[in-house]
Amino acid sequence: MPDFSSIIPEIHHNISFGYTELLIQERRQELFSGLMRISYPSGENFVFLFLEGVQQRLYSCFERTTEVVNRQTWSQRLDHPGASVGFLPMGVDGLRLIRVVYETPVKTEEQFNLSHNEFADKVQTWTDESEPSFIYIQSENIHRIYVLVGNPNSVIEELNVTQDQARFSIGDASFSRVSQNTDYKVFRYVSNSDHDTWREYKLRLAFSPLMRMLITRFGELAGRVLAERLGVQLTNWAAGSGWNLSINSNGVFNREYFDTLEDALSVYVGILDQFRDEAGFAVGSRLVETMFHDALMKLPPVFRNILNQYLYMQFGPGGAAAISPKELL
Amino acid sequence: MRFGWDARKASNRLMRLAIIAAVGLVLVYAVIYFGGPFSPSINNLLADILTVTASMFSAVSATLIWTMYEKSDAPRRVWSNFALGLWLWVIGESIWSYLNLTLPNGDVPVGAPDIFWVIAYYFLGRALLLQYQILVHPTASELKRRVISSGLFFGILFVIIFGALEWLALSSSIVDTLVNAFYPAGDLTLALAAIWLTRNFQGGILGRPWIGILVFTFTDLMYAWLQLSGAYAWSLDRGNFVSGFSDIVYFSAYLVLGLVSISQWLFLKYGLRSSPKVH
Repeated sequence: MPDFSSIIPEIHHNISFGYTELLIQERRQELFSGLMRISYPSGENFVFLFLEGVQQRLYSCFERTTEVVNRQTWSQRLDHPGASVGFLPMGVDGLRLIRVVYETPVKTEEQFNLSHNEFADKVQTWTDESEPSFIYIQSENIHRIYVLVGNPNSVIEELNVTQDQARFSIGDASFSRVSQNTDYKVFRYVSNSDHDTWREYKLRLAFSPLMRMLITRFGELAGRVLAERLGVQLTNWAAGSGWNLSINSNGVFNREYFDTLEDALSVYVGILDQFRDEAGFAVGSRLVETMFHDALMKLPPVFRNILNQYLYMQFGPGGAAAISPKELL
Repeated sequence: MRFGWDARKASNRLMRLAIIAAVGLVLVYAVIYFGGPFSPSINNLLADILTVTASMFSAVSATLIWTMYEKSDAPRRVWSNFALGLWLWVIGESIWSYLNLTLPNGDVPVGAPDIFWVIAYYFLGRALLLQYQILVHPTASELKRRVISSGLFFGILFVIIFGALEWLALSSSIVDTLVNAFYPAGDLTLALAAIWLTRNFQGGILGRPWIGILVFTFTDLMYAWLQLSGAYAWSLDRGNFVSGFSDIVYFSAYLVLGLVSISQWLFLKYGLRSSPKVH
């Protein structure tokens, strides 16, 4: 996606590299989460992604593209005088959205000037398309970024930047009906779902309803108290392994930022293994396998496919059988 | 932590204690049955008290499971019916024991205890059906089909056994024949449903009580057969090995049912098996 780092307000101008490093150090100490923009008179633009004081990524932003800077070359790339620096704090949800926007490929790009009603109709059309896409909206002092994961999943994640504040929310296409009655400058970027960042993103979206269904079904068989206890067990397991996820009958509250698809997979597979062990002890392995199968079949195809392809396949010997393509039809 | 114990240790200790107590009771029952250490009337009294105690143990265990579920939990209805069925068996056993001790020769005719035993089958069957509903989520027509096919299976068995009993003239009255045909047909129907549930739970703790009911239905079948064939001894002093074996197995089946129910109760109370594994 093209550079939209201009939404990050600059507060320090024409500073040395030493001072830039000092600002980075301060963000580390205060366990800052959010974006740090560093731009140079040469036109080079960089965005640091901080999560709880740790620099996760450095993006080099160009007019139409963005690239991830190799960690070993960070100092070298930033070692220039005259930098302008700004910050935009945001939580892990917003950072994950930014990561998807920056790291996934863009196939086509469209630009529109739309009235409120036209925009609402367009959003409905775009959510029905199979390929994932982003929408960037500018109107007066508001910047909004929407991530549409692709039909038929209606989940739309939104990052709303107003007056130097970033607010993340999650909803569906109905947001466009309640948006402000004004004209919009809209940029739409159609992406290619065949990318690990999209896979990790979809896997996260799919994992929560999967766990919700599994725990709900377990609760039906074993009672609510035991289901809650199972959620606590799984949460403790994740916490014991250093992962910031909690699991209950409402699904997964995922505060984790996974660096790679493989990291995410290992955690999700671990949680499912734990579930199979614990639930299987209570209701038997046969019922657990049926639970996995039934839960998968109830999910929308976009989630079912990603879980089937990446999670169920890795799910250990004797694990839930992956759903055959015939069953998926 | 409860009473300074680790929950898992407490659960294991209670289960071990229950198993030791059950094995002890079976040994005591066998000694009374075959050793006859006291006078015949005292031996009969003790044997009957032990049987009622064992049936009560299974009913209490099932009731404990029921108390562990919340009102909105679907399994609560399974266990209310299951516990009610077992409590009706306790009443049946108590009346039977009283009659066995007070009637001449201890020969208990078909009558009051059978009313409770027969009604209990309705509640046990209902518990199995509710468990089936929770497992399968059948549509209304699927459920109807299942109920009709189970009813048909029971009906056909009942007619066959009833016909055989009438032909062999093993029972003294038509009511006797009807009741005596009911038990094997009811036991086999419950056993088949229990086999289906046990297969579905495949090793899970929550499936153990269904194994218990399966064991019980087979021992009840054995008892019914001995009674009909005339091999059953109504008092211990007239006892024989087959009759004694049947009584001990019947007594043990109640204890097994109680033990598997206790293991489910402990599981519901003290939680899941393992402490979290950290990878």
